[in-house]
Amino acid sequence: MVSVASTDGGLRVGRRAATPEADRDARGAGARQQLGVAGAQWTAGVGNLVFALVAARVLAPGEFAELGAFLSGYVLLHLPAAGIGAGAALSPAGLSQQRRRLGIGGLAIGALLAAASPVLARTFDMPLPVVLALAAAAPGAGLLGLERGSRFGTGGHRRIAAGLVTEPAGRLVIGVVAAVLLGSVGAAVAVTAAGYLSLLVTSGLPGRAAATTSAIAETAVAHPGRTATTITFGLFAVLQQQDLLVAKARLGDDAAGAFAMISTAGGAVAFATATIPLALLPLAGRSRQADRLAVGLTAAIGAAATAVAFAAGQPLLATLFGDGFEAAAAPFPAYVGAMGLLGLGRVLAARRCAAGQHRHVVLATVATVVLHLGLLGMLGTAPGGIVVATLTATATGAAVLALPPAAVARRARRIREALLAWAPARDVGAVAAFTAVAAAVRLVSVRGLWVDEAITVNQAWLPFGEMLDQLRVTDVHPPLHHATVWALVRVLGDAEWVVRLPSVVAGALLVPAAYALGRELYGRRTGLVAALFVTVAPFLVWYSQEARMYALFVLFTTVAFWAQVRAIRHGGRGAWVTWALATAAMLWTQWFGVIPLFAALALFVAAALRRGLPRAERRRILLGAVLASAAVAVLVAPLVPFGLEQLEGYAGRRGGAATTAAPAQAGAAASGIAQGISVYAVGANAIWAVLGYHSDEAMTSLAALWPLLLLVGLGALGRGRSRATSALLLSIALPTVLFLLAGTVKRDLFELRYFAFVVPLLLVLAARTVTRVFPRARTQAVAAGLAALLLVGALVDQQLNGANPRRYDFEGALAEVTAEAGPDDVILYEPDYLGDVVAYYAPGVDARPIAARRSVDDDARTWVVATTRVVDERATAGRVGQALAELEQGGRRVVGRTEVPNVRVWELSR
Amino acid sequence: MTTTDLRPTMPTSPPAPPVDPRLDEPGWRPEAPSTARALFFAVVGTVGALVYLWWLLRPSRVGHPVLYGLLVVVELFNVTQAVAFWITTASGRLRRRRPDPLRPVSDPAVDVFVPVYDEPAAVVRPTLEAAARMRGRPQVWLLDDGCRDEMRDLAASVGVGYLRREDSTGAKAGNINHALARTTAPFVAVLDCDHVPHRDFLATTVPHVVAPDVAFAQTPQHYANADENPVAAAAWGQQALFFGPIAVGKDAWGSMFCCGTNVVFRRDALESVGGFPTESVTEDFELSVRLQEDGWRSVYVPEVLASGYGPDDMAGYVSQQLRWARGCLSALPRIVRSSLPFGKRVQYLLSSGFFLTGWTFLVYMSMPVLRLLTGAQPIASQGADQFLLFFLPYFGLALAALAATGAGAYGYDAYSLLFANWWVHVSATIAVLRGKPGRFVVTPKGGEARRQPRAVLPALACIAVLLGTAAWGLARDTSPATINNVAFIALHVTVLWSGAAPALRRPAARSAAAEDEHTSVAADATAA
Repeated sequence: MVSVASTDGGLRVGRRAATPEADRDARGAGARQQLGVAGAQWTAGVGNLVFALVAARVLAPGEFAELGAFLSGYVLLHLPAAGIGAGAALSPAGLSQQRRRLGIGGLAIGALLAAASPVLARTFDMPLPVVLALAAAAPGAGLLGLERGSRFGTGGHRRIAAGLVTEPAGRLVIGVVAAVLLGSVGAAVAVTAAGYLSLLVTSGLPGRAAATTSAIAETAVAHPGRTATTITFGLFAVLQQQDLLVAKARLGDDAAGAFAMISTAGGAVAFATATIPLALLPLAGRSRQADRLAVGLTAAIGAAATAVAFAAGQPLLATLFGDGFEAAAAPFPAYVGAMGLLGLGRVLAARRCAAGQHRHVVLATVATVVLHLGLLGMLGTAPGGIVVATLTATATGAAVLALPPAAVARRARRIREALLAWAPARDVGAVAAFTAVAAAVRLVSVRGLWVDEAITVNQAWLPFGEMLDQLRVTDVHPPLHHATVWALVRVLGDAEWVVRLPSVVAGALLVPAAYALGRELYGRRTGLVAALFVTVAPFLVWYSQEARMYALFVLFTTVAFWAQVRAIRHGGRGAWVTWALATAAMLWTQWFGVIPLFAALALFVAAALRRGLPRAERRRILLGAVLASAAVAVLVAPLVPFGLEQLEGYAGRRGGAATTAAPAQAGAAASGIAQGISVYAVGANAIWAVLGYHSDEAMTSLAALWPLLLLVGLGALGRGRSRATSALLLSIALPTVLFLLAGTVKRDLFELRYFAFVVPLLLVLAARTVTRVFPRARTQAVAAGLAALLLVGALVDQQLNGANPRRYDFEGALAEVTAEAGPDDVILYEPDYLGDVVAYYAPGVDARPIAARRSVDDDARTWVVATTRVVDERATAGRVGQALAELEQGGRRVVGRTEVPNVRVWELSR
Repeated sequence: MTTTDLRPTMPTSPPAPPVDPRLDEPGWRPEAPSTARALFFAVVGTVGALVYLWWLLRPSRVGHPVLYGLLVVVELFNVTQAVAFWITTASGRLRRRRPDPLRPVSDPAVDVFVPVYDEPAAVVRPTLEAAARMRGRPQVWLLDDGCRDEMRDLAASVGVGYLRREDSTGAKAGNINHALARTTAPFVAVLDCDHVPHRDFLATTVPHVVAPDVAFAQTPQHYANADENPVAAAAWGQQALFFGPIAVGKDAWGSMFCCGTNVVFRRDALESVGGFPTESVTEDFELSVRLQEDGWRSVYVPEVLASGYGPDDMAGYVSQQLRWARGCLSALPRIVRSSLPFGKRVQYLLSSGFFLTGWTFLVYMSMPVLRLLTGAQPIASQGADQFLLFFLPYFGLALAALAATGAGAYGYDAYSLLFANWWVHVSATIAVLRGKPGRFVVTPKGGEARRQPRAVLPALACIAVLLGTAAWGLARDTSPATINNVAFIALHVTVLWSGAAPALRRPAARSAAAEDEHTSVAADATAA
């Protein structure tokens, strides 16, 4: 196959490829070119790595750091080269003019760097000659990209491969010697020289071949997508690097270091696929085989690298960077996958640019970069979050670029139409804004994990089968949430935000769900007000920030109720299927899902049997309910043996088998639940539902406002009994009464979190009250705003008031301990179910239940960590008091005492 | 006394265009609740009320003895009213007699009385025209107590009879008696001049009074202007509850009383008790007692057969309520002494006693004020949970029963209007106790096109006192006890404000006709 300049500015595959034989030849040649250049690229990568490793051994640590700083600057200088090279690969037209411009530009940058070198040297703590070496590299950076690109465009793949290999070879040959002789300055100069050497090899010595290339390039007409391609690949370079910059800016030293490891190792995948789009650009759109080869090769490299990272990420990182970066291993496979997707995105972009769809490509790439930045802003507080941001952005970018512009436009139009069918345009915007606010509010958590969450994390680290076994024997919940956290922990680690992510997402998605429900029941205004209330409802925020299953449970229940209303009103397969799926998910999340299921079935019966309903409608509802219920039964059937085993285990524990009592009533003191079911317990649950969790004093004052409830009753007078309100009331009241009755048998069952699904329904009812009482839009907005302000006030108190009995600051309590504890020191904790949370926040410290205090070495410094408000306050206090007394009798004395919300720490030493 | 007698002739003027809401089909039909629902509330509600009283009446509950005594009296009154309400509404279906077979009527003549005093002709004309068009043999009479030639001309233009009194002794009752003496038909229908009858009014009601022992057949008093302003709407809520489940229940007890309009009498029944009593401001109520004492029966026809105007503004409402309260409360001794059967006597007592409700509101409002100012409270220190455990079911059932039996007609606006005018009952009670004679005041028609803060001055004063006390209490301490009492105050202030607010808003004019011929019949509450 030969490439010749085409009149449309690109390079056309030669006519000889028209025959089958020629096509086979062309395929083979294309594959050889791709693999040859890619092989050279990988060789260059390995060579550069070897140079870095050798330099690390040859140079003193300080000098190696100087070389590292130089290399960072060198990479920065070459960033634009990616875009320039891609533009030239697509269309090498006007090569000499571009050489001139880039040469002048590079010289100017080099001169600027040289002029600023004293300042830069001081600022970055580098020797002046090293900075000058960097300045000397500047003129060659853009030119190297241009020459490589033009070689791609004119079919000079051998020269590209040679140039690629020359650079590390030059570094190794010249650089190692220079490093030995001249230290970091020598190494830096050698790197610069190797760059120029590579430029020389790539562009070729003045002669016939170079002249031919130049002639081809000069006669070619500029491809209209060249500038767009340059911008696109420049943006991809930014996409690849900006997470590293954010990590440096936002993370602490250790976390930033960990992310740098991930980035360096994961970036190798992007590096390995960097030449593939460049080789494709001249051929893309004209050779389907070349397209397939490029996409397949890139995807295969990405997939293989990701699989390797999954299988052997930790040993690989340990080999490359040594021990101490175990925490970085968890998100590593995801980052490798992200880099694979980035490579794929580049190939897809190259294909579209060559096909003349450059505007679409630029827009998609800009959107991807902006999305990445936005996600980094939201999630960039931990390495895992940054990885999620990068993975999401690269996956989105690749997905959008994979679709032809027409298909993207068509799908965008369909989505828009679907959204508009679901809600008016202004509502979509408002609900999206509320959802974003809800996500932000839920992500900003100021409290650490508490006992139950730590148990979840502990379970999630077990192998999957072992986790299920433990759930079967010791737990009382179905496995959906645990399985979700298990998978997340494998990918992103066990940071607080990671294990809480399912709850955060569920909590944010509850906003559109509440809108949909309110709109379906009463209309769009009620939907909007309901969405606003759900956004800031303290109780919902609380459980959206807890690594437990309640937020998912609430979301599934709300969606199921919405789907049920739609199914009853309009029918349609979608509504019935949604109800069945959401109901099954609800049951896979929480056994208490049987209660809303029971209410839902009652609602089906009530709807079907209502007076005046045509027989056909009645039959439709009943038939739909029976079929959908059967589907739920099928979906939940696999769960039955699991549930029966849990029940058996629970009965065994109740029967006296010795196990750790799980805390169930944290912070229930103010509810009166501890004293049994009472009006106070009902009132406390009602306050929690609307205003969230507060200090005992605040709860008492709020409870004193009960006369205002009479106003609600009076206000409801004469409001009529719409079917929607009746359905809502049934779905709220029936479960509440059932839980109340259950609470009379087992008192801690009457606890709002177990029937938290009534809260969104209550908020929809509250929204309906607002829209009904205030029929005018303006007064509605004012009333809804005031009510939302009240919720915000309650939310702030709930989140920040240390007297909130639900807040357990194990993180704060154990931070000091972890900072001071030595290898021989011991933490004693009480009650004994604190083991998981202590292990989470004090992972390297020897921690034991307080009952094991006699086994502690006499000389060991000891911390006693206790919480008092979980279960059996008196017994806990007694055991702690006794332990402290014994430790003091044994010669220790209390040298420090820390009290944070609901956690106390005593430090004892001799 | 001179009388002008114009024999009715066939109407000559064309029917009025349908701009008047009284000419629209009423969108309401009185109903008794279903037997199961009514029984549920009657049984469960009564049990709930008794449980609450059982808890309240224990000696250990006594806090401040005087306040406790007041609270007990008030709660006994309310529980009695509530239980009676439940039983009455349950009776609507349970005790409903099989309707008397309606006797074939060969178009008996009916004198239709439309008494007027100073109402505008635009209000009266549709009534006369509709009355003249009724099926049957109506002989319509415009009874003019205002001696206005305008009315005489109106009667002539519509083609109905005209009777004028030179003096207006006995007010409306005297006016009707005056007409009774000058007409002869065996049946007499009375329509307030703003109540436009349905074409079938006579055809539906007269068969009920053909029975020789039935004195009168009463139909609902429907407010056609309920959609036009908040006062009429709220007043209609109260009316709808009465003419719905309560009236149906009272009918089941045979104790439905005459409401002064939309009613058909047997002439011989009226004559047997000497016509309408003129010494009472609620002549209809008093007449009903006399007729029932004399052995006559009453019938309630639960079908809207005439539509009229309710009070258009707060002054009108206050005027109406004052008249009703004074009349009914002054009838209390009479009912107690009457020879009515026990069941009927209880029903009449309940109807009259309802106008003491304002006192209970006063007591309720006073309790948190006294608690904050003096620390005295009626119930000895009990946990709020205990109180709520026994009070809430009773309260909830009472509200649920109201909502369920009233079919949504009785709303918060109706309740708050009643609450905000608590002083009307108190004022009426005092006036009755002082033996101050009442004066019949025509319920104003048309309404004022201006704010009426004076009509709700007592409510506003109450709000000021309550808020001042709450502020003072909170300034002293913010203990849960104080907050609890402030919450009670907030509850009362909210309801008071809701009830009084319509008087503080500039009302929209009802109709061009009413506005053009607006009469300034501002209620002088004090004088009334």
